[in-house]
Amino acid sequence: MDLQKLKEKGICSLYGERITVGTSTCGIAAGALKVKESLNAKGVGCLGFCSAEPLVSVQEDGKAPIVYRNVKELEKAEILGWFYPWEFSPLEIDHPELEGHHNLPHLREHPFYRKQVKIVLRNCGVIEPLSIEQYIAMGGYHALQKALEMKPEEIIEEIKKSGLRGRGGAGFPTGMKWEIARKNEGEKFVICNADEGDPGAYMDRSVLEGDPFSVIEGMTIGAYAVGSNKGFIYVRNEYPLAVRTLEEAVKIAKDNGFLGENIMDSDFSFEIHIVKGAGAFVCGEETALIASIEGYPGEPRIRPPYPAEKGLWEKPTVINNVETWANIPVIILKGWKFFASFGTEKSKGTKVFSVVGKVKNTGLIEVPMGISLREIVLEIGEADDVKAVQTGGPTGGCVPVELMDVPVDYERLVELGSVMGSGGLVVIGNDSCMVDVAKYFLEFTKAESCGKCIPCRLGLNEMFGVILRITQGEGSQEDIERLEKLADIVATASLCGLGKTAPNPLLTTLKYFREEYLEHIRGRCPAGVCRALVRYSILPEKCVSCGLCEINCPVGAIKKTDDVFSIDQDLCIKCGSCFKVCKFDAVERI
Amino acid sequence: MEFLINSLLDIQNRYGYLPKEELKRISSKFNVPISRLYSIATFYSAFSLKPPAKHKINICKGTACVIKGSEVLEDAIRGYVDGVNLGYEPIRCFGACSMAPVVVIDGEIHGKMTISRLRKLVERGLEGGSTKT
Repeated sequence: MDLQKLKEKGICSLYGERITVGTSTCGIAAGALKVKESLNAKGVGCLGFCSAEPLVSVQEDGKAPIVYRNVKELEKAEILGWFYPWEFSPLEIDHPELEGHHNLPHLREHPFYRKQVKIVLRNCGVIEPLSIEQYIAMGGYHALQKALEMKPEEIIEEIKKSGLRGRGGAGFPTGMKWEIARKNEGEKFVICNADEGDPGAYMDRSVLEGDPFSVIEGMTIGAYAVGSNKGFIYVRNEYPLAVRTLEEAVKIAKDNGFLGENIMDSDFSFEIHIVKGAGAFVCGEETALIASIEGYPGEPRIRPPYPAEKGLWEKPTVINNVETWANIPVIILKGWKFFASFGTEKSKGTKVFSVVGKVKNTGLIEVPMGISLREIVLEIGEADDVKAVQTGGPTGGCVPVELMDVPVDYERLVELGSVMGSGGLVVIGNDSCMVDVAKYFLEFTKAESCGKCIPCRLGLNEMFGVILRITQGEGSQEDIERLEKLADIVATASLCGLGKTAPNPLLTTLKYFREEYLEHIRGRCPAGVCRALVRYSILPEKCVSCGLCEINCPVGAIKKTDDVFSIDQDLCIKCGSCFKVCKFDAVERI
Repeated sequence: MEFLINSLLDIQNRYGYLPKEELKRISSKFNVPISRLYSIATFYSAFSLKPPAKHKINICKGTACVIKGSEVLEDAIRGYVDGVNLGYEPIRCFGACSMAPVVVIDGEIHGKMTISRLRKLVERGLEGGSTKT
């Protein structure tokens, strides 16, 4: 195994003439495979800018690549900007001279990229995911080489000093977790938690599909530091491309001597197995995940003992999430000071967020901790109609627009009643009903409760029933008190993070949008979303009989009688199509 | 034992469900009681113990589709669903929200669905014709 030789090969293939298309799952859904075929291009991971996909970058010999957005035919596509392939990576990389395109806009000038700092996503969208040569050319496996010359204790010290905290959401200091596992004797395991179940969060999928070796290298360093020879990647079955990419990547790493016996000619040996999840949200919880790998239903158990003391098969086990592992090589190679130079006092480094919902620029962004929600949503996302931002997935909370100046870190989000979670950010506009949003998330968590703890299993069900009643206009003042009491019980008496945080969407909407709940009790849904409380009718004096509403009505409830249109209330499903299409404001919503 | 669930997933993918004979084989191969396989199969949503229906229909229950009336579509096909010829499963979100309401019949996505079009497609499929358009 010769790192230098692989590196030279990688530089050759990375900096020559080259057309690449982002072909992660999201790119494929936007039609990237067709584009890739027609251009005879190479598939790479995701540059993060989902609303601009398919993204094609064209690199002529000796010149920096130019990125085109929303490509159907390359000739007609709009240029997003140009960039140097290495410039998102924080690692010092040997690279040849490439000529820039100074007459064109640079990618960094686009609001979507301006504030980003890429540590985790350093290679995504640049290298071919399964090219270990290109990964090495971008500085890959240099960290492992360095780590194998360090003492395990030194590595742990480095991670501890860096201030890295678990990116799965709970934010436990990674170095401390490793230290506990290190001190325990006997066989040990490391696990990568890639069971990304939050709807609306897909940063882990993007890393696995776009840069799998960064996770594998991180795990190998971690295994060396804690003294483990066997690792598992628990990845959800719903990510078939990520599963395939990982399986291939593990094999390639093994063939090149980066996994298996005597890694990089040292006396350290380490193997990685891929274990697939089977569709259970709760398995993202570490003890449930361990139960699942052991071949049991994924039910959490009481902690302590923490997995670092007694985990998989009762052996010390380090579990970290995909994003956490991908940070490790950079910390080792650049040192803890570099990593700690980003972020806030207690939350160091960067965080990847998926920005979705009512924003112009949807996509994956990596920003330093401590940035404000306002910067993310308004500057990067370019949103123009924001009522609230939902952070942390189905067990997170809704932060109202007035509080968006708060810097984003683990502690501050908890103070607001939300959580960091895995980093999903859903922007909610003024046309959404906050009671309906809370109902939607409760429906999710009640379905995904594993059923072990009674407060979670029955409490969430009961809460859903009450909130359903409110959205149907049958709620009462006592219902709100009832919800608060139930939320308190579920949060206090449940064992795992799911139950403890499941009331968050409800509690935050009750706290910041109480008036909306009260309006529902009075029989009105201010946003016009809750169907039982809305009634559409056509104002004859404004109607010009164009018939647009009739064409758009999905159930044929709009009919023309005596030259004017009217809505048959028995047939109307209150979808609001007529309200949206009418150009003359003749459809009224009460 | 770390490959128990992987093996069950392989079977599920091959047959579309977990046949009893295969479960017996897994039970003896991994030396676990069949009751434990049953508890796994009923806990995880990826598994099914019944053979898949001839035709499969999914209606999207994502936010955009619900607002555009997918719950009404759900009511409209209730009468046809028998689990043998036609199996129904709601799905959270297909990510094709601009085409809401979205219905997937035998793997093919149909956007902007209406009740009458849906009924026609389902009836045609049940009579032995193709549901493809």
